[in-house]
Amino acid sequence: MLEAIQNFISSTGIAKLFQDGNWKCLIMFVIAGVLIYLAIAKQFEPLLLLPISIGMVLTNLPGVTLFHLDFFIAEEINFGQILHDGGLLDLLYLGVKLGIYPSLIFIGIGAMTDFTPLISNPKSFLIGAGAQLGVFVAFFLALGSGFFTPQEAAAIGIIGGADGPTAILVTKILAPALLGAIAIAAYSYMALIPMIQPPFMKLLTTDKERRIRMSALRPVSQLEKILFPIVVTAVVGFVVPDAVPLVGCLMFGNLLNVCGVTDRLSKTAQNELINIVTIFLGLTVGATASADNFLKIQTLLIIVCGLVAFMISTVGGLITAKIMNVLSGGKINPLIGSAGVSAVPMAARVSQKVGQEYDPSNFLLMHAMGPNVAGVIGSAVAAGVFLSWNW
Amino acid sequence: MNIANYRSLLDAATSMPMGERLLYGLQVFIIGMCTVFVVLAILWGVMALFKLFFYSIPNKSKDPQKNNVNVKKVENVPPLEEIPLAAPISNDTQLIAVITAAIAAYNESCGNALPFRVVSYRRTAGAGGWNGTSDDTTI
Repeated sequence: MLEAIQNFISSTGIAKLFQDGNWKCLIMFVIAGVLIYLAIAKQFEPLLLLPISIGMVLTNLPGVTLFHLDFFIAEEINFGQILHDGGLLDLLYLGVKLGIYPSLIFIGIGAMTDFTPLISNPKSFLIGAGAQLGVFVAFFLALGSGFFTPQEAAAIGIIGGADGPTAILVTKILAPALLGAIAIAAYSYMALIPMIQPPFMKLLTTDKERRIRMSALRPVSQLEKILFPIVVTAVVGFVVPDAVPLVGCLMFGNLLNVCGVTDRLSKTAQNELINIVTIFLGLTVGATASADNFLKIQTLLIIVCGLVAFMISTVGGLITAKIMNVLSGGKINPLIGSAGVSAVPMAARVSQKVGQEYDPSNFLLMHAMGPNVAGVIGSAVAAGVFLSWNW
Repeated sequence: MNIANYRSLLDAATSMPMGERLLYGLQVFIIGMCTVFVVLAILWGVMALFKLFFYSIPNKSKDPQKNNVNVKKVENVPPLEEIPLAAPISNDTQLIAVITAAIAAYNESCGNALPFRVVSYRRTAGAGGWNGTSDDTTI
């Protein structure tokens, strides 16, 4: 009887908490608690941060083996072992490991995104390209630090794209052990865009530039809207084939929305599909943040490099927009440059908000949406560059 | 990549001389940025062709009656200050900003300088694309 009680007690999570350095999970609970607070109380990216933080809690409970990162670090996945020995999160994580979730999310994003401002003002593509500067600067810094392999540096750099699914796809291929830290850094900074970007926007633009009123966007025909996703997929596919899983799905989702004959599919992609996949993705990404894997000096460096990436991307977009403003004879408000990072639609709203602080009757939102959606394509292309690189 | 391979990669990366590492990083930086710019510049060019082939500038002179109506409308509108304005029924200033921007863009494209202000809006049951994107949803 006594032995049975002892066995039961030793099997409890409380007993295991004091074995083999399991106390570290308490730190993870605190971090998860902060994320839960930010998600619920502050409403910072709640759709992603809440599942991620709950995934962190589940994976760090002592004695609970819902997830085994070791199964997925190996180059060849042993599916039999996962099915036989794996827990719930192991099975769900297959969607991340096989690159299924980011692509499915991109279908939903494509269905939700209006590319009309970009078709109407295609010069915005250049701002979207300029805003990828942070991706490559952060890669350079991470590699230069000496703490990361080139592949890991690439995964860290892609945080600067401000695009969660893209960051997850690149990381799961190039640096799966860093997935938790990178995903958390990416989504946290995306939530903080309204705080990160405005100081740089004000620093790099003059009062006169902030008041520039841009001319109205031209109307876009239905035919253009239908041809756009097809052409973008073809162009990106021919130049950077590794970007097609993201760009192709993004454009497919958009085609569902604009073609006018697949409303049911479009609505499913915009709602049920993306919501279900977001739950699976968030939980499993959070599960990779186990104490042993997360509480390292590299995590701190990832957070620093990620912040630098976001800042430099903002600066890159602003400088590109400023140059275009000069070349166009003062017709482009440089504030839309910061929207070149692909956090849709938050970055565009920041441009609108900052612009209205200086001229309340100036409406930059639709103009900023062009660079914003161009940034989505730009970050996917940057990801394609990293994925196709011969490391 | 198994764990042993990963360790050897990390060791190789960290033992690489600083100069060599920075040179390698610079190489990826330049090629990467150039690729992104080239791809997006190609897309810009293609989209510019779209405008050439699929968009015809509306000729306002073909529809003089419509233009006259617009001018008349502007003339008959009292100054903005004189319009009795109701308080917005919602505090959702962001949504009002979006609606205002859309109306302004539409008016401008039609050559209509009619002053206006959004005083209220009504939500419908329809689920448009933007309805799926909540305030806190970011890619």
